[in-house]
Amino acid sequence: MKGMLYAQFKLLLRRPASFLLMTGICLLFAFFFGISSFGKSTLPVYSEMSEKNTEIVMNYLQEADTQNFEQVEKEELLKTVREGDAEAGLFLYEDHYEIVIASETPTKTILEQNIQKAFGDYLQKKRIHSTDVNDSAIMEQLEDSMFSIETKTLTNEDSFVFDAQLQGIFGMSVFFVIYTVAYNVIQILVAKQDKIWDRFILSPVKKWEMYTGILTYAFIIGYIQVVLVFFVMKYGFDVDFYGGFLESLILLIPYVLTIVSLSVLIVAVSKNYQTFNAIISLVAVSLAMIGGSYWPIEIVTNKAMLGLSQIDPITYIMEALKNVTIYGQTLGETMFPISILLLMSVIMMGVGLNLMERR
Amino acid sequence: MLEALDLKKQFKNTRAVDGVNLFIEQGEVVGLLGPNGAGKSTTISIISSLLPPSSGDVRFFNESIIKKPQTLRKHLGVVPQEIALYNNLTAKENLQFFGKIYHISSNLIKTKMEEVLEIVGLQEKQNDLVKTFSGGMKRRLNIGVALLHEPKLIFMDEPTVGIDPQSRKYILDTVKRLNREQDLTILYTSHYMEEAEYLCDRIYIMDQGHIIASGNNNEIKGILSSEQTVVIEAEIIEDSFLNKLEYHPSVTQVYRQENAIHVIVPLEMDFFQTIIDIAGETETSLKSVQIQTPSLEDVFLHLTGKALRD
Repeated sequence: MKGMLYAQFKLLLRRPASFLLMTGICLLFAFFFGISSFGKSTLPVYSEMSEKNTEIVMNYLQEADTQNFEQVEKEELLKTVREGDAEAGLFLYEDHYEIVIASETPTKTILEQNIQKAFGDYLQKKRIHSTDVNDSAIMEQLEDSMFSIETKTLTNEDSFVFDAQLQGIFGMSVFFVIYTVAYNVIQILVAKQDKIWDRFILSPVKKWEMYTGILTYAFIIGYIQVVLVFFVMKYGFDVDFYGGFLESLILLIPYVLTIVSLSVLIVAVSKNYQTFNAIISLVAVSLAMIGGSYWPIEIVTNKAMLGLSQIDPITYIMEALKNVTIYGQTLGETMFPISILLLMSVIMMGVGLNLMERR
Repeated sequence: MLEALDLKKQFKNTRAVDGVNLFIEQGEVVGLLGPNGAGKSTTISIISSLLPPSSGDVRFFNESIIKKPQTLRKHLGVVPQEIALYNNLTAKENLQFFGKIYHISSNLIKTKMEEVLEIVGLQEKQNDLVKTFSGGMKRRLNIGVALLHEPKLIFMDEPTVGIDPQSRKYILDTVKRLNREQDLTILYTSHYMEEAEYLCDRIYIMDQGHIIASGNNNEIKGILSSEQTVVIEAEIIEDSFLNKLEYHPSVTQVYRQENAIHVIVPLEMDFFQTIIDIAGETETSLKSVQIQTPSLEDVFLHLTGKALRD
């Protein structure tokens, strides 16, 4: 196995460009999807409320970290949204609100959540003020309560915490690593086609050592890539991992392992390099779309897509990564997605190697 | 040393190898000749334990290798038809890698590499990337890798395909030298008759999965010992001229090779006048007419009805 690793690392040192390029692209996409989206977008607001109430609602809205809100005239709001300068616009009325959107985007869901919360708080206060009870006493009670309860549900489809930075970094890292790993696992097929594999078979090296050598290398390279991206994001761009940075790195181990197994399965069904190229592009993009690499899975409502996401490793790694960062869970608490990933890995590796040997 | 007994290999609807029997004695250079698709590479794969036969057995020193291939593999070097090397590594790194694969100790590997590089004449190119090598140099290194673990037996599957005449000669001389100086037993497949004539002690001729003839050069040529080959060169070879020759009752075989026509006729027959007559009838202007002893190529054509390189 050492010999196999020796050759693979020598080849990497000889031609590091493809690894560096893939890591660079991954960083770039993570940056654009994550870091750059950190700059809050400004959404126009038109209000028919009284000046005082408008100010209250606007203050509530500004509390949301993800967007800025700017009060504008009605015509200007419509024009801004129509011309695509803003993804959405908000109309405020005394007892309700309206959102104007140009197209369905993840922002709309997040915006809805923010507005719902802000408007809910506003209406609550308004009702308290309108009762005969001494409102200042109630407000005092509300603010000085013994404890406050914040409810976060992971399963409730209507409620999730969105962190654009982490979504971008996690999503792009787990997507691009599929290519990095798969294009190393394909070396098995290349070695077989070039008859280098025959030399291995005739040598004293055992078959399991041959596979383990190449697959271990693919795992190491894939893992290095994602770890590198996470490190650059944390220490280079000061991204907040909510104290779950180390846990995130640990979680990537079962995921990269699953991708190695998935790649073995893809290589096993590929007749040649060209077929592999076609399959890997299709599989990687589909997995990323279904599993929530490009946008949060929580905003997907299509039942077919949600059903498919249950057999997508990206779904589970995204869930696990968000659990240990945004939702502050421990590794022990996020065992379910990890177990699914490991199960997938075992099944795909078993089927893949079996198919490969039969051919 | 090694024998194949009634080997058969079936791939779906194709029988690639059909009842092949052959043997190789220690120190011999044995040729396995045949056109493309004859079943040579499949036979090599089976007897080198890379491919299980559908039926039959392969014995190495009287021990079957079908279930226990390790004994053979330890003493076997294989030079595949493909360039089985890492293009992005240097010649030295390739040898180092395959040395590790063969569990050659770090101390020994350096000496072995030097020896092998000298045999294949690549000492000066050892630090160059394989991808910068010419076809001939790659082929030489391909052979070098197979020699690294000091095999007793080596299978070479068309090691001179697609290279220039100088590299080809170098490889043939190397093979001959390895056999003579290191007592290396060699099974050499080719579709070049002249290579077999130059190198091999014995030859097996294969076609459509069968061994159709075997023996040493003279024995093989002896198949046509009662015949002669008339080689005719003409300005323009018309179909009518060829047809007349083919349908002549005394002619055993006619085939065209580049600008010449080879006609196989009985040894006692004086065919010269007949050729002049046919040329006159078909208005063919002849350039030359030569009478030769049949070559291996002629024998092959006689046996299979097609030229070796078809």
